[in-house]
Amino acid sequence: MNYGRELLKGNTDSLLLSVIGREPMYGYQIIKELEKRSSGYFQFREGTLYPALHRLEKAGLVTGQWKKLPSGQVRRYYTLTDKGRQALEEKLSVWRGFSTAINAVVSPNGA
Amino acid sequence: MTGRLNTYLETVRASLKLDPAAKQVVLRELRAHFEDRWAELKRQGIPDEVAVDRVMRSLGSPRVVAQQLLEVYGHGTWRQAMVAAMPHLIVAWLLAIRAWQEINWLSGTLLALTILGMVTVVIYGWWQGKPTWVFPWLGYYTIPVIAAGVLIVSLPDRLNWIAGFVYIPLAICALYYIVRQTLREDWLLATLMLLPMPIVFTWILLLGSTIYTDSDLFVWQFSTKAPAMALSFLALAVMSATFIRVRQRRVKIAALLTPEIGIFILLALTSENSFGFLGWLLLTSGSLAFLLIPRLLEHRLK
Repeated sequence: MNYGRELLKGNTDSLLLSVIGREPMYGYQIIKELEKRSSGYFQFREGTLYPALHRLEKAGLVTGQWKKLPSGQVRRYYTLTDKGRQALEEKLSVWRGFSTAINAVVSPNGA
Repeated sequence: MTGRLNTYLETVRASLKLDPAAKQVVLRELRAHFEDRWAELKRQGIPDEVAVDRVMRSLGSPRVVAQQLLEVYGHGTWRQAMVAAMPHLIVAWLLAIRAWQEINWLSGTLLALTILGMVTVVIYGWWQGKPTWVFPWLGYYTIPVIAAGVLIVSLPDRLNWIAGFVYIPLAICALYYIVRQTLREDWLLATLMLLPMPIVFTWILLLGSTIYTDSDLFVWQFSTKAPAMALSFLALAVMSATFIRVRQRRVKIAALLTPEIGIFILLALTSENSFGFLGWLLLTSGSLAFLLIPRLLEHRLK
């Protein structure tokens, strides 16, 4: 089992909500933004991004809307809903607690 | 690029047994993603074929993508389930209140509004990309075809040829065309659409023989059997709602086929055994076979 992949899988929702929370984005933009902000660490299997986005949309955490780009192309922009914002805050709070605890345990001086 | 992209999207499309509206959104998004990634690689000076290979690799297996989307869209919301059950509930309600007995301005307006509502819902559903909840509504558009056919068969002997040579072939062609259009999405949606037809057909068989010979008897029989008819449409409403709500495909199939037997038991009980056991068995197995025709057609079309 790839530990990094498992961690990414477990935190996909937080990452996506976090990126969409800054500004509405479409699928390809989200992938690029994740790569950029993680300095290339997070590399999604791109086809699996859409099932994840649609799952979030079905749960009411994001909404998707088709918009026309200046180039004339049409892209589906995802926007965070109030419910999504609340879910993101909860997830981040859990994550901060978890990472603090992990750091405290694994650090050499135990603090 | 277009050829390989189309093959990829076609594989996703074929594996995605879900709501046509949701399917359309997914396919458009994947196409857009493909175009964006490909354009970026081209800007980096990567040759066409290599760029397409990379895009394919980054998207991953189309079947895996389809499978993950199926897990998301496997079941509908309660609201969608209610909308799917609504046409059967309306028919059950009209039968329960015996709407035909006293046609006055109120019942006439209600009936007109019901028909107008049905037309509006179907047009809206079609415009929304044919979501699953629209198919039970669509089913009622095919019922006049069956009803008219049975009534034509009951015409006096000299006029029976109309049914034999003109109406029935035309009706079969029309039904085949409608089912074939639906099969482009999923055979289960065609079955969901056809669900009320065997029930309506059997009720017409039970009542239709008296319509030309004794209209008083027909009205009396219709009134007597109205509660049972309402109950059978109520069962159809539950079947449609269950179909929308359950996630697994096998359970969806069971939700459509199993209660049909229960409805036919109800039909046998209220028909005072006028079909006999063999007749009942033939009608029940015939209706189940009829509901499975879309599965066979889909197989043949592919």
